[in-house]
Amino acid sequence: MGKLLGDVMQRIGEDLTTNVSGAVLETVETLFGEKMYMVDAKDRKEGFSSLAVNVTLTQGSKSARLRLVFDCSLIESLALTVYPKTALEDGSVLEDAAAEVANIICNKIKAFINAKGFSIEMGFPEVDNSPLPENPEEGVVCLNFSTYKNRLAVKKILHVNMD
Amino acid sequence: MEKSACRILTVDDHRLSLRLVQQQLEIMGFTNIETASDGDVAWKRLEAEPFDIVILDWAMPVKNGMTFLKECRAQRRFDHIAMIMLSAEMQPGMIDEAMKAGANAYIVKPVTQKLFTENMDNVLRWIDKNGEKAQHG
Repeated sequence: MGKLLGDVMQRIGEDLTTNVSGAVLETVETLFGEKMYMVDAKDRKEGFSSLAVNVTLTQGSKSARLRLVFDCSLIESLALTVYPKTALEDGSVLEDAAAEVANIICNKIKAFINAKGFSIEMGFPEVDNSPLPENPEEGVVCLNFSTYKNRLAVKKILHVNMD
Repeated sequence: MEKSACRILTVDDHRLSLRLVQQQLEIMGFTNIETASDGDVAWKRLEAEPFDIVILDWAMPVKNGMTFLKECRAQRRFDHIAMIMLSAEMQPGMIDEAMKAGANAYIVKPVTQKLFTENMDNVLRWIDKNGEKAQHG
């Protein structure tokens, strides 16, 4: 277990990074209905609360994890396009929204990776804010999302187990 | 078929998607919209009430959209119902599989209002044509 991410990054790492940014931007633009601009992650404002969604990718006995961490304000803004403000008092509404956004983005990533010759399956997205273990057994790609006005910042962090 | 008379069932395990689709349908003028959170619940509703269109997600717990689609198309009594897959799954092989299983349209999430409207208009034309065929034999 654990080498899937290493294999993927070795073969298509650079292309994957570009694809992830494109997938995220397209998803957020379509869901928000307005043009967004990708900015460097250091431009994001500090002190936000967040929602983390984990998605497991598998190929045979190998697995890797995508962990998408959204600013709550990003998910709230999206949810407010379809829900009244009072609905957001129910925390499960935001968790559901985060899971679905993660689902859409991860399916685009999966399709891109499989078009490059892999045969990856994807699990259901699960909201889980507990911190990652220090040395995760499987490779993990963390994508941290935040927005400010029409700017979207995505910070990518890789934990690759090369054992 | 008049949009206001059309009965639609939307099936998705994510409430956000159900709300988004409902909004997109309402913008087009549809008013009779029901929802279900998985294929099993949707099946029970389909057996109990008449629907003209089912819009369904693929990856759902309990009974997924593909299983639901195949089971529907295996029963002649549901031949008149238009089935639209609305899914984040976007691999060409999977889309082919859905179309071969009898989906009238396959829309990849997230979908713009423009593309959604085009697909729904095509489906309404199919319903009208299907209705004519059933009338004239």
